[in-house]
Amino acid sequence: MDALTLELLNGLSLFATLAIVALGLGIVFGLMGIINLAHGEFVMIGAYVAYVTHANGLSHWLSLPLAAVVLFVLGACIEVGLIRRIHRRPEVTILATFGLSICLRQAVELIFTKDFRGVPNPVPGATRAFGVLFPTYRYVLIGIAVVVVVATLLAFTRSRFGLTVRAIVADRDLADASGVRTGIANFCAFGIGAATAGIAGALVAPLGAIEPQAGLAYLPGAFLVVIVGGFNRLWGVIAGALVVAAVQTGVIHFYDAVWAQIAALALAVLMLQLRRVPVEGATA
Amino acid sequence: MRFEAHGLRSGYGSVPVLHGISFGVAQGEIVALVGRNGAGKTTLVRTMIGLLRATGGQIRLDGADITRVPPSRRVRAGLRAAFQERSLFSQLSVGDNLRLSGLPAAEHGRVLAMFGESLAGREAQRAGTLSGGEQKMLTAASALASTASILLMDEPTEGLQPSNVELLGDALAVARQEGRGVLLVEQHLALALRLADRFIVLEKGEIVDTGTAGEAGLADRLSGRLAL
Amino acid sequence: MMALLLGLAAACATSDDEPAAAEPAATEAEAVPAPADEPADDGDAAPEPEPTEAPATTAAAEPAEPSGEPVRIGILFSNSGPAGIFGQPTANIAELIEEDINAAGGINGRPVETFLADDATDPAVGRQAMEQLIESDGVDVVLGTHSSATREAAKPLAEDAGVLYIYAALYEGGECSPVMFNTGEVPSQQLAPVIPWMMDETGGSKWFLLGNDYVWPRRSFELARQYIEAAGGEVVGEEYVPLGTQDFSSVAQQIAGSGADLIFPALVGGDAIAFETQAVDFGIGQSAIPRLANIYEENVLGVMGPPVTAGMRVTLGYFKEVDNPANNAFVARYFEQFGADAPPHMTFSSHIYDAALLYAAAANAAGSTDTAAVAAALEGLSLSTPTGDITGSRHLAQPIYVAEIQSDGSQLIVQSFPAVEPDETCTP
Repeated sequence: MDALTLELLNGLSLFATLAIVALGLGIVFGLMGIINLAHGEFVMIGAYVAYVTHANGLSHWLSLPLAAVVLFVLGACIEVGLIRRIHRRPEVTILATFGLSICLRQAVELIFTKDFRGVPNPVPGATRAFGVLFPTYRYVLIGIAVVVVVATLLAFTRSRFGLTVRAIVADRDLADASGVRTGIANFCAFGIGAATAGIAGALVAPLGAIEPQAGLAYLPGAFLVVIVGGFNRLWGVIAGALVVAAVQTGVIHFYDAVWAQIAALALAVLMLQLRRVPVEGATA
Repeated sequence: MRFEAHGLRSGYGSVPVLHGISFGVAQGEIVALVGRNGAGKTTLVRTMIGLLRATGGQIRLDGADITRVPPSRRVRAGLRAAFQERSLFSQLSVGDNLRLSGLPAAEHGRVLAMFGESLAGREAQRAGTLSGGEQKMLTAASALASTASILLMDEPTEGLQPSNVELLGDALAVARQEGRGVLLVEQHLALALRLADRFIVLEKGEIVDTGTAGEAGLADRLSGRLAL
Repeated sequence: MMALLLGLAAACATSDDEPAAAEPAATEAEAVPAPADEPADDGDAAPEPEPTEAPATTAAAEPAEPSGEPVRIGILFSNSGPAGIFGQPTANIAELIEEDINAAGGINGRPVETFLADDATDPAVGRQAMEQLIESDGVDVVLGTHSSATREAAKPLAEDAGVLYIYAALYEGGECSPVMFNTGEVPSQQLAPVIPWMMDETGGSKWFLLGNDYVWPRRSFELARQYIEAAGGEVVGEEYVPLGTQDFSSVAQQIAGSGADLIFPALVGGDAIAFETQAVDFGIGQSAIPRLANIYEENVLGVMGPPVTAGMRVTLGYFKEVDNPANNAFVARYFEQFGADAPPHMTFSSHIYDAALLYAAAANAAGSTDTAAVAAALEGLSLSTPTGDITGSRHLAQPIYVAEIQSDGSQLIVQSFPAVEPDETCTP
């Protein structure tokens, strides 16, 4: 019973991490049809924001809004300077964001070197709840991630800005021909996507290593979530993260982590087969 | 406000469709653009609104060159198109479609009532679940309800019941009275002959004939053009 | 636009080429006078077989200034990509290799020159790098510290060209080729003496083996299981996680439920940091279940921090804390030359240094740089280096050290096993 409770909590924390890491990737793909191969680097830079915050003796919690701001500005600059010029050509955006990811890694390496960095856990130890001890920080992570993901998705689905954005998702040309400023929507979508990645990076920073290559590890998981959740559905990020977390936690529990990874990839292939033409949004 | 095309060329990829089209639509007039399937009518509408890139010639709005201006800016300058296909956001609700046309929620009821009862009170329904005729009505109604000065209506009567064609004709006449310009793209002559001030016949991407309302033998000439 | 992007990418890529920047500095080394590192023959040298004097540690008062066409030593290493973190110490050591061998009279009277090539932690790039070393730089020998995948990709080129290839990285063992020698630790060396010692030391006997999923952890655990069982212990869990794993919650729960009283983590880089930092909050930190690690190195341990690491034991063939006069002088000189905050000299860079000294000694003994002649001379060649006493063979017999992490984060050598023979058979 306790073991089951713990696995559920593990699954929940994995779900929360996956959802917030994948959120920006889903937004940018869903709204702009752009496969952003530099998304993992946004997460990585968010983690470095947490590191710099810590190195300056400031509270870890401060790093979350800081990372959001830094990454929004960075994302917006990238949209204006790079993405805007090429966003109607999917194959070029893949190349460009791939190149961008290398540039960002190199830039971070120049500033911080290749050395691993870390951020101490601001709330070490475990909390007893539901009859089990579970790491306190993971409760915090679950709470913050869920709030950020839900708030972001609500903003995109309930506001006037959200409506224009959904119109772009549904039919970019028609939105354009209806007077929707797709440029501004892209700018905000890319910036917000990057900002959520930044928050994700700062949030997971105390749980692992911070290094220039760290982004590479986040990208596959995020893609998995977006593939499983459905490309053009914003709320799909939540569904995708739930399914991937459930499958991974389940397979790790009954088999091991290696099979869990294989299962997750098989799931992605299966979903791609079922969905067909997943990049429709990109080529339309 | 006056909308003009000068030697307009356009097409898909390397396939040219329009071979130098020149015409104008002024406020307070309805210009009918007629032609058979494949004549290039829809290509012309898409090029005018900016979804297709002109490969030659110029598009002007009040004398200003807007050939390279993106669609959303043309729309905000007073141009508006009701497309023949994919004219609605089918995944969004009827109300959201109207909001995207720039209509405040308070006016939704009035717009939906334009064609009688059929659309009334269905704001929450997904636009994609409306019947083909209802989608046509919604498309036309939201274009007419917008504040645009120049309307490009691409085959708005296709699939409409005769009684609704009448209602649409009335609404277009009102738009003209209000001082708006309409480009009415039609395959079927009845409505065009009833409403239009001037006629343009498009064939294989070129203007092959023009006419003015009241000209002797116009109806027969146009029918001849569209036959075969 | 494409051209701009490609240009941008190219501009980015050039910053990968740090080894190129290191080369000019390295070529100046000839002018540097003999370093402060004096002979290590302080009586603790292995008495048999009679050690051949290594050039760098020879007490010869005035070795003749080397002259003529340099002997070209290629160094294939990872200076970018995930393993790039170990690149800088190796680049630094390349400088010292030139200085020391030249100061001791070079190889057969000729000076040595080092050529560095980066594999970017990518086997395909590694193969190109090997090709460059052999074809463009015309090296006489390649010393390698990189992944096994790069070794497998690059080895055929060395075999075809008949170039001696000394692989200096800690690895899973089993390599056997006429052109190959190995100076890195293999699992049998790291584990055979240390596992029983660890069980004695802690009183634990129920091991949980947690590794990344590739050949080196798997081979390590295969051997660990034998040694554990031979020592009367048992393996209560053996788990593998993919490289790049970030969430260890389920694994932590398995460990907690396994009843283990010892953990052997064969995790690399970020995975090690993620596991250890998360493990503490799950109640299975070092203070609850002692660790014996076979790869945790200083940078990784530093990021985990002493609250997490204090008490962990690490088994490796070299630590900069190894206490012998030669090593103390060598380490002091390393930090003096490359700065107090230079990435520390560690087991990878140390084994590259050993490989270079072995090669120089063997080539001097053979009177030639001919691959077959040097290979013959390497067999049974004994040297004293900062690492300790080593004896050349297809796999090096070498000392193994156990360091314990102190509460201030420093590493203290708590046990050393001299001249540990590898459990490897290779007669190419």
